[in-house]
Amino acid sequence: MVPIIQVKDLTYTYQNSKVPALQNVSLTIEPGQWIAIVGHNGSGKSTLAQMLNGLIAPQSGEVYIDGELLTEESVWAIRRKIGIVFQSPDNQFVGATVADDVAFGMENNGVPRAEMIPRVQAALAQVGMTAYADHEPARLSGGQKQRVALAGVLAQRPQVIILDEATSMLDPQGRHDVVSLMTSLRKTGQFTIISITHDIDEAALADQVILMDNGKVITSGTPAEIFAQGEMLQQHGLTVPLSEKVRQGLLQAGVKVADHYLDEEQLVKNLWTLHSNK
Amino acid sequence: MNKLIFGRYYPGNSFVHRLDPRLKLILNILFIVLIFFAQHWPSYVILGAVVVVSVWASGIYLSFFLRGLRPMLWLILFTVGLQLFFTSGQHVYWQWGWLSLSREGLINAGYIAARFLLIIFMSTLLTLTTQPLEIADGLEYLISPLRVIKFPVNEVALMLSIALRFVPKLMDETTKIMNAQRARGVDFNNGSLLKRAKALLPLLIPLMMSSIDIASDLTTAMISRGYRDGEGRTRYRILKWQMRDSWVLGAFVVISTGMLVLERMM
Amino acid sequence: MDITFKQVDYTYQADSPMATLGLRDINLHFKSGTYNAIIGQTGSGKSTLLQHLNALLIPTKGEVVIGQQVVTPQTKNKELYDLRRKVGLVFQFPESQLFEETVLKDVAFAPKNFGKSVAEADEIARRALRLVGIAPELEDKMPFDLSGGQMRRVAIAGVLAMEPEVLVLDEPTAGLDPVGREEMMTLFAKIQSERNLTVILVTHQMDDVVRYAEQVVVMEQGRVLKTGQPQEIFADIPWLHQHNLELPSTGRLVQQLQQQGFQFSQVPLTVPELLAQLTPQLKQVVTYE
Repeated sequence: MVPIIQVKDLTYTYQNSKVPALQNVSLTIEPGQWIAIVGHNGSGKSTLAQMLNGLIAPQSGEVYIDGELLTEESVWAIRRKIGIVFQSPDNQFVGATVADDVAFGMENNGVPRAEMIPRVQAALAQVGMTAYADHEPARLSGGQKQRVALAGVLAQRPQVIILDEATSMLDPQGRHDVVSLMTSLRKTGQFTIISITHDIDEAALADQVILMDNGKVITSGTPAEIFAQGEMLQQHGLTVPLSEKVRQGLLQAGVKVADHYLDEEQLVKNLWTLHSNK
Repeated sequence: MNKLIFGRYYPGNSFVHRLDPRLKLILNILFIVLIFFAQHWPSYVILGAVVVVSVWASGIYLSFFLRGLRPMLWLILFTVGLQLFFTSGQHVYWQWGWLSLSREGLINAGYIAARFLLIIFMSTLLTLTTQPLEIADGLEYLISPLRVIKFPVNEVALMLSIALRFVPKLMDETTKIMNAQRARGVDFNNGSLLKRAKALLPLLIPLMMSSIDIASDLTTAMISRGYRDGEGRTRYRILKWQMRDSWVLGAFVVISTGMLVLERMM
Repeated sequence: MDITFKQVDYTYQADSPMATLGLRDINLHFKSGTYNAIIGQTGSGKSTLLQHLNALLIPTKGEVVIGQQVVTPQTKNKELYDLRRKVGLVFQFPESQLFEETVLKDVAFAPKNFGKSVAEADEIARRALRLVGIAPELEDKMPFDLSGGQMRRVAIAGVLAMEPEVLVLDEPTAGLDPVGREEMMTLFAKIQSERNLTVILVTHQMDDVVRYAEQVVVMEQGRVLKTGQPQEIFADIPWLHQHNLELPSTGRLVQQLQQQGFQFSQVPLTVPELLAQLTPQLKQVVTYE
């Protein structure tokens, strides 16, 4: 199988900066996976995301999308394969109304109007925003705007969906809505999802977690593998999932809890076997 | 500021609301041209009737139109005053130095006032019944022949629509920054003119910075979604010319021809 | 400084394009020197309430008593000048209010507005900057050249430089990463105890509420739904669900544990509390020395 994303030795330093934002980053991502790239603010994870669709050109290294090398010639075709939902709900809303915004990408790619109409409708239905088609962005909540942004991405039928801290400015309700949408998109199996986040609960949903700091990939693995290394997460500016905090606490208190990472459900089961009154 | 930009569109579904924005734009221009052909009072009666009927058909209260008049009031009074006192004529009613009140002056002033009122009512009707976005769409269509001289019609139209889209956002931002600076002891409402002008700096600089942020985020998002330039783009939003638009245009042509004929006869 | 709301109503003018929910019949008391949290869904009236705390908004009915000052619908803007100095308000994303050429000047802006000389203001600004952990080397930099997290600190220093008696914080950690969030909250707790400030925090982060607040105010649709200590507010999980309120992060796990059969005399709201109640219910490993 051709990896959907392959980057080799990416290095990049911003103009006014002395420290590189990315240093020799190499990654391979298989299609259909949900990848979480985690790291604190300024760890280089957003720079990496913007490199995947050529918004930033690497100073050295190569990006392959679906087997194709990203170059000045291929960049527009590649942008069609990658949809990005950005952090700020407001500043990526181009259209004057919800439907207009969803259509924006298709307009750019010259999709005929007759084809656009059903695609806009389908995308809005997919994110549950059909009732808002004619609304102006000023009247939507942050979470709703992000769902519209996601609809705009879906309408373009991309292979990869990148969520670049798309939930970080939302309230709990908005975050919950966007995360459950991501979960349902994963189930369709049509997309590779890359979520760039510092929310550890969001990362827990991924198939693979890539931890970044100082522009480098520190480690990668399944959430269970990564989360079991609580100390390392903290060292790199992240929190430890609650179930892991509790497990560590119990270990220290002398309880013979499992010696590896457990999610909340597994932890409860494991603890029940240790229940003293049983 | 709110009154100038918002409060302008009056949501509704009247006959006038549903007319094609292109038609409304064209009629506004034609109406203004027509006004300058009107030299006699019967023409003003006809034009006045057109305005009255249009306002009635829009289903909007007269008070909204009067509100539109308010910012222009001083300009109107000034111009009318000029006409009133500086027109020389034979029938002088009153004179003081080089100020004189003549019959011709009165008539001229009356015509000027009528022209102002007609134009303001008609353009207010356009903005009250047409969403800013529709106006932008209409304008884009009307300037599209300029493409021949390489005028970037699509880009300008997109710029206009994005600008409109971000007006409410910038308004919010303005309120927010004003509040933040008031909480830091800035007084936007009191003090000398100089003091108030200085108080604008803590508002304008953050506003500028945030506009730059918005612009840069927006550019990134647009490029990611495949925006290059106007070439090869298709359009989702289109304008549809309806039967009623043709009827209204026809009626207007008939009325204006009638008025022009009447003018020739007098 | 005590703050009391007595039967306060606030209605946004009908023709305002910003018209959202106002406030209805608010009765509240924030005791001097305490740490308070206001929670509620977006649009529940939290921000409107906040703006009454330093009279950026004036009630349309009722009165707000802030220290000695009584604010009623008749109060004139001029009378509020002194009040604004005593109540520091940190808005959401406060870094967007920075405007001066240098960090130091920006922080000194408020004290200068409130009548301090340039030298005094600079001195106060330096102290405020040290308090939020901005190094002296950064004082002469353009605020816009700093990192996002640093800009936020400078903006907060700009409010602290007013030397307020009440500190009002509107989601001060929004958009920060976990470590930044932690540092920020620790900072506020430190300032509160050092300066004996009254703190009023608006947040969606229930873990912070549980950890720091002495009194919690729950708002819904412009009204106060409930006030109480965190323990009272967060004990009733079905009630929280019913009003679409978040639980502290321990909440979900506690629920699962309860369903499984574990017993808790009091709903544990933090990890240490949870551990304290959980450990006795589990078999200990016998360690041989």
